[in-house]
Order: sequence, then structure tokens, then C-alpha cells
Amino acid sequence: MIAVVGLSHKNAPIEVRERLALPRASVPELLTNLTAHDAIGEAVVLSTCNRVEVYAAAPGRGVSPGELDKAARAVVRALHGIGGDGVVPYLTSVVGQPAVVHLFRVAASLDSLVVGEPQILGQLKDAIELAREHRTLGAMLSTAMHRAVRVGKRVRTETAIGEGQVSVSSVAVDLARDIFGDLEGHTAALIGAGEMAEAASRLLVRAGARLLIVNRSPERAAALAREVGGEPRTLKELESSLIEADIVISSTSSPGYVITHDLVKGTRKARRGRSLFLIDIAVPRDVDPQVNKLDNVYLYDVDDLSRIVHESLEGRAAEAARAAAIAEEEARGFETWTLAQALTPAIVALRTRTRLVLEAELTRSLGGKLRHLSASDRDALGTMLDAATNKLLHAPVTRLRALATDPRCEDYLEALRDLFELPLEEAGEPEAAAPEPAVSERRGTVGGAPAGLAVVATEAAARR
Amino acid sequence: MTELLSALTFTAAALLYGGASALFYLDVLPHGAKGAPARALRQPRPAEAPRARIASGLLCAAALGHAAYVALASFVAHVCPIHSVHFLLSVASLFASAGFLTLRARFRVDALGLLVSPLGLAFLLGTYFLGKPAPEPRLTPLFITLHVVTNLLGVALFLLAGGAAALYLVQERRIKDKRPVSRIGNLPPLDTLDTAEHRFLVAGFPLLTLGIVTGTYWAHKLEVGSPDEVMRTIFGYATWFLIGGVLLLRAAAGWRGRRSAYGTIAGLLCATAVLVIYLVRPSTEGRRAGATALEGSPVVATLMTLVTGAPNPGSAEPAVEARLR
Repeated sequence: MIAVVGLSHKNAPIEVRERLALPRASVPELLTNLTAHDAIGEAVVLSTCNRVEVYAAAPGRGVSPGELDKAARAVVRALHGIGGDGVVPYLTSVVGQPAVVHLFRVAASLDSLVVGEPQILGQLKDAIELAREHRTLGAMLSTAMHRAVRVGKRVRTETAIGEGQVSVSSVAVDLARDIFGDLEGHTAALIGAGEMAEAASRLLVRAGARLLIVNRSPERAAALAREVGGEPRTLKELESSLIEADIVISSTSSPGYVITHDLVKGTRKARRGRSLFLIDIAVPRDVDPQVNKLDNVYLYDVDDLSRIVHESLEGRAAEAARAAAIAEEEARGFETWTLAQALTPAIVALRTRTRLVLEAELTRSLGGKLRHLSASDRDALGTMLDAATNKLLHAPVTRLRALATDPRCEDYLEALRDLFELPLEEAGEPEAAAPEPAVSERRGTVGGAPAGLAVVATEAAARR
Repeated sequence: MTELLSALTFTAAALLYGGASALFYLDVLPHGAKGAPARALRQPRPAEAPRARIASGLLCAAALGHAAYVALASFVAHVCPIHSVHFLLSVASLFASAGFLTLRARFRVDALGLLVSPLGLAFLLGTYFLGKPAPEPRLTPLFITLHVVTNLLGVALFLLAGGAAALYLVQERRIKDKRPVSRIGNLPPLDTLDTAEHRFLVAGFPLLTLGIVTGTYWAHKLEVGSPDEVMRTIFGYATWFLIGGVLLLRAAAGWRGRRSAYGTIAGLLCATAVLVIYLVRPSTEGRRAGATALEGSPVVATLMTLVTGAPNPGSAEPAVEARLR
């Protein structure tokens, strides 16, 4: 099982999220620090403009609530160290099955500001890849993430949640039309880069606006200008671009304000009172919020745009419900897999222990009172012991497998280990290495879990 | 018969103004939250939305009815309409309606109908308090043409500019405060409203200037000195200075948007004060002469005749009264 600790647009305003906003270059260090802790065996960091969340798993098999709680507390301490005291009240911590459900809902974009938005799946894949590169991805998280990606794909394929997409970018363009009317002949400036900002720029160009690309790197500005259609400018030309533009989209990775109150105020005379619409998609924000108080200046940050999108999507409840059902179904499947993973080593250990004991007795007997037996008699005796072992253990093993979805399963496993003095084994290979069950098998359920999966995972482990 | 027609046109114009006002209001109402189309990338709202087109038709019919009523009321009172203040005051709203109907497609400001229609209704109902149209012998045709008509044309355009300014302030506040999409409503874009406001002011200011100049000349000739005439003059000059200031500051200092809107509305209020003084004066003079506004109103007179069957004591057409009996 996994734990998730973090904050998102749902519980933290942008001023708090800014404190935990991690540039991609800083994530590896955080991953290393997290997994260096005794309580954390695996970690994945998902950092976007709307959320910063750490998904963690305890070392070894680590499915007990106590171990997951320890892992969650360690993550909280790590995030506290980055964001300071101000972020702690906003951090939420979820462990166990609810954490899995949350992860799957995030992948399904159900937890996004823009329900149905496609960016989150790509962001999740990037986070997984980064964790894999820095070897902080183990069997538990790897399987969870693999299934999360599968949830995201299923949701987009099997529901209409992504259709007629209303996005932050399209809302920004609509607001521009509320201010300027027809955008033909107006000028937009894109400062920085980023998927959402570039999407908004493309929409503006398509609507007839002229585009200026302002970037710290002249090469990047030129490349973007060729890609989206516009004129490249350097950051030194920021003020003149602000004078020229009617719409400004800012999405840089700057930790401070790129567009300050004084800068905008200074351009007002040259602009001769023309309206200026600023769209700040960056986290941390690029534009000083005080700018909105200036006459004829309108500033919308990512939270404002997303709130508008959220309200406009209230009619999508039916598709969201179907997506949520898919996430729940896959979460139950993951739970079954987790328990099966815990069961398999116990079953193998029980078989092994039983066989070892019987083999030891057989060897002693064959060397003693039964040494007169021929080779064929010895083979027959060995075969008999195998058959007896299988028959003896068939009932308890079958019963254990049936308990995979039972809440008391952990207790039975613990009792089994204690009674038979079974050793604890390392977690097996992540599910990604096992053959994918066919789609038809995924559809059926047994007690809420996909029918064939528990058997497939168990058999795969037994073959090793 | 004429009085009956006068009453009928009054009633029809009032109902049409009311209908147009209601339709314009429904046109700018936002969509409800449920069933609302998602705010996806869309094309600009077409200028000729069906509801706005019907509302404009109703407004046109209402304005024609209004003009017909005023003409008939003047006929009932045996006063030439051009010589009647009663008629002239309605011209302001009729010009505003005509200007709006002509220019709404050009500026895409259908939402202005939300203000123009109720204004027409207000001026129509204002005649209710004016009493009978009374001749103004001091008003020569040249004076009326150069001073009164140009002023009224200017006021009509200022009414449209003021309407655009008011809508601008509403829309600007909503966008500034980042209010939810579902509550913003179908108001025109900010720049469209600002441009329309400016152009109405530019068109109306020369007319107002001519009105001010001719008014100054005739004030000297007519030796006006009563308190209401002095107040009219003061407010008239104030209007000119305010509107002129708005235009000058816009050209020289880039005053656009909210500041320009407030200045326009202030100028419009002064212009409205001039009209109000014109409205109040005949009513008060009528009361001083012993007649009440109700008794003098041709509409009320006709309705009273129809209901009671008694002759209208104020009627100038005894033969008509005899026919009604």
C-alpha cells in the first residue's frame, strides 16, 4: 500500500502552493532525501501548478497502517523543510486504500481544477520517469503508478470527460474577448514558456491576434515563434512589449515577480489608457497582484481561470461519475494485487517449509532404516511426499487465496507466519513485468476485484 | 375621436416600450448554471441575435407610437407640435431611440436598448404630468431649429453615450472583481462600449456646442431671468464643460475606460437636469393657473370621458364630446 502527502488547489491558495512549487531540477534531490529516510522505501514527487504531492511506500512489504503512517510523517517533515511553517496546516496526508483512490482520481483528472484536462497524465508520467531514473521507484509504487496511468487512459477512452474540452487556455481567450471584442488586430505577448501558455497563445493567434514571444533565451524565443507563429523578443524588450501588447500571457519559472506594479504603471502613459489584460499562469506567480488595482488593467492568475472553468463544467457530472467508477474499480484491483503480493510469499514459504521438513525426514530415513530401497522405490517415495504435501496444503492455500479481499487477511497471514515460523520475504517484481491480463479479464470482477488478476499474480510469483 | 386615438397611441406606445425593455433585459441576462453551454472557445456573439432583433422592432414601433401620440395630443390641444414644448421634450428620447436603432448593428451594442427603451417609456409617461400641450409664442422657427433641435439631438446622443458608459462600468467592475462567468451576462465587450461611448460623445458635442451658442444669443434677446431659466443655463454650460473636458482629456491624457465613463455620466446628469427643469416648469405653471396636471392631460381626459360619459371640461372640441354622448 502507499501513502500520499501534499497540497493542491482544493485546500491551499496559490500563495501557499508557491512555497512548495518545485522546479524539475530540484525534484531529484527531494526524491533522494525522502528515500534516505528509514521509513520511506519508495517515492514519487508530482509537482504541477495546481498540486505538489509525494507518493511514498514503506520499505519492504510495508503494508501495515503503522508503517505507512511513519512514511507519511517523514514526508511531512521533508515538505515542512522546503515550504516552512506556513505550508504545514495545508498538507493533507492519506494512507492505504484511500491514497490509492486519490492517486487514481488524480490520474483520471477528476481532482484537477479542469476536470477532464489531459495535461495531468503527461505530468504524472514525467514524475514516474524521474523517480525511475533516480531509482526511487520500487515494486509497490511502480505497480500503483502503472495502474494509475492505465486509469487515466481508460477514463479518456471510455468516457466523454475530455470531449468539448474547456481549458484554462480557452477561458483566457474568452475573457480577452469580453474585454476587447474581436481579437483581430490586437497584440498578445507570451512571456516564458509552458504547455498551457503556448496553448493559449495558439488560440489567440487562431483568433486573429498578433503574437510577440518574449523569452530569456533568444534561441528559445525564435524556436517558439516559428512553432506558434509570432515575433521573437528578448526579456530586455519586456517593457516595450508591455506597451505594445493588449494581452500578456506570463508563464516563466522565475521565483519572483517578472511583471511588477511599477513596471505596468510606468507603461500607462505610453499605452494612452488602452486596456491591458494579463494572464498569469505561472506558479509562483509572475505578476504582482497589486497590478489588478490599476485602471484599465485586468489580471487573472491560474486560480481565477480555473475557478471559471470549474463553474462551467458543472454539467459534466455524469461523465465524472463514470470516470470515478473506473478509478474505484482499478483501486479495488490494486488492493487485491497488494494482498495477493503479501499472500504469495507466505504460500510459497509454507510450501517450502513443509517440503524441507519432509525432505529432511525422508533423507534421514533413506540413509537409515530405508537404505535398502531401490532407486525406483526412492523416486516413488519422493513422489508420494510431493502428493501428500500438495493435498495437505491445498485446503489452507485455497482458503488463503479466498481471503485476499477479506479485511482479516493481514491477521491470517500474521498468524500463519507465527504458527509455522515462516521467514519474511522481499517484495516480488512489480506488476509491470508480469504479463498484462487481457482486456476481457479486466472487465469481470470477483468481490469487486478483477477476476483473473489475483490468480495471474500469484501464479507468476509461484513460478519464480 | 382624436382624443381616443391619442389615448390609444399612448397606451400602445407604453406597452411597446415595456415589451422592448423586457426583451432587451432578457437578452443581456446570463445563461443559467444548469444546461449552460460550456464556455469553450467560441465565435464573437452575432450582432443580430433573434431576441435583440425582436426587441429592436418593438422599440421602433414604440417610438413611432410615441411620436404619433405627441402629434395627436398637440392636435387635440390645437397647438402646432413644433411650437409645443410638450412635443420637443419627447424628441430627445425619440432621437435617442432612432440613433440607437440606426447604430446598434454598427457598434454591436444591443445591450444599450436596455437603457434606451425604459428612457422612452419614462419620457412618454412624463407627458402624463405635462398637462395639455401649450404654445410658446416666443419660440420662433429659427430658434427652434438652431437651438432646441440641435440641443435635443445632442442630448439624445449623450443619452446613448451615458448608457454605454453605465454598461461599461457594470462590465468593468465584474471583470475586475473576477465574478463567475454565469453572472457576467451577455454585455458587450469593454472596448466596444468605450468606443461607442466616445463616438456618441464626439457626434453629440458639436450639436451641443451649437445649442449652447444659440442659447446664449437668444437668452440675451429673450431676456430670460426666472430662476428655472437661470438653472437651465447653468446646467447647460456645465454639460458642455463636462463633455468637452472628457473629450479633451481622452485625446490629450489618454483618459479612457472608467474615468471617461464617470465624466460622461456626470455630463449626462447635467443634461438631464436641463430637461427635468423643462418638464417641471409647465406643470408648476399649470398648477399656479389653478389646473392640475391630471386635468390637463389629454390621456386622462379621454379616459375619464370614456368611463363616466361626462364631457371633458378641458376639451377644445365640443363637437367631439357631443358625438361621444
